[in-house]
Amino acid sequence: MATPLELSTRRSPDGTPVVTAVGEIDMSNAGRFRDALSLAAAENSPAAAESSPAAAVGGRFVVDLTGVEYLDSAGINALFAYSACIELIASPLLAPVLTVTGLSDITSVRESQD
Amino acid sequence: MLLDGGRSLPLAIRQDAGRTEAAYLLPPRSTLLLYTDGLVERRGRPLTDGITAAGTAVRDASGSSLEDLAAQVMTRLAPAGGYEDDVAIVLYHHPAPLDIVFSAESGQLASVRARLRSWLSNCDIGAKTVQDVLVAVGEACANAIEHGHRHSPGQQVRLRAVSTANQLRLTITDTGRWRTSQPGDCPHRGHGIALMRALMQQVTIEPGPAGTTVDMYLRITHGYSA
Repeated sequence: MATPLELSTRRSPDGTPVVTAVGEIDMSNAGRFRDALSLAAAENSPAAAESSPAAAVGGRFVVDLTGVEYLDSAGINALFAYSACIELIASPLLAPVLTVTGLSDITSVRESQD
Repeated sequence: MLLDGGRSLPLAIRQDAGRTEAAYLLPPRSTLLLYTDGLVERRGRPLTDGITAAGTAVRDASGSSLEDLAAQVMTRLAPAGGYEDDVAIVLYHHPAPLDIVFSAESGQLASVRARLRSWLSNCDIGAKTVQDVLVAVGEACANAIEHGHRHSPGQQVRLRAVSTANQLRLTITDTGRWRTSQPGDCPHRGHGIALMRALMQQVTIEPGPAGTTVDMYLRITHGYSA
């Protein structure tokens, strides 16, 4: 049975999609995580923006990992695919993994307040 | 640390005499040595010399397994002509080593992490270090599941964790062979090994006839006085 992981997507007041993950991300559920990112990216595409102008904000979306207590290369690989268009929110607990893999060099990372 | 509370007369000297008690809280990752006087008492030498020698032997061998430590204590304290009196020693280290065998399925990762997290909580190391160990071990386990069992599903993976006063040693063994990276491989696959090497002090990956063994060491600098 895959590691439990809560995934949800909403829109912030300015229309930016926010993908929120709560739980632990490992190889057993990284596929689900990648699917949620892919969906948010698709909804944010220029094509989607034509039908709903509020949707696209420069193609970027937010990935909120405040409630993620474990992240390793499986989740990192999923994030790398969207590194050019996401803003990450993550607690200091995940900082070493983001730094060592180089994701924080190419993606905007905001430290969560918790 | 010499436990010298709770001293009493030798047993059977005075049946009616009360016996004192003392309590001491063992810090995590410390080693306790209990011994009979045969270990430390020598004719013509103060008892304190022998006791000090015993303490030094335990401290010097603080990175060893309990079995090696017992052998070293007995060897270092033995007089030239051998022990004259019976010797009994008890060695105790907390936490005891962790040893988990699990089937090579990704669904096992969460429960292995939970058990390792629980064991690490008995080691008195900081939250950041706990996370580093969880990730490094998680990577090794994921690789064992993914690469080691491509050709033979239903195999098992073994995780062993040992703590000593100043380091942790983590060993993950599977029954497969990790594939060396090929051109055209997704470049992100290398992150797992990069994470292990960055988060641990020493990482060796040994392919062997029966499978692959990952051996990792982490030095623990925050400590307690011996």
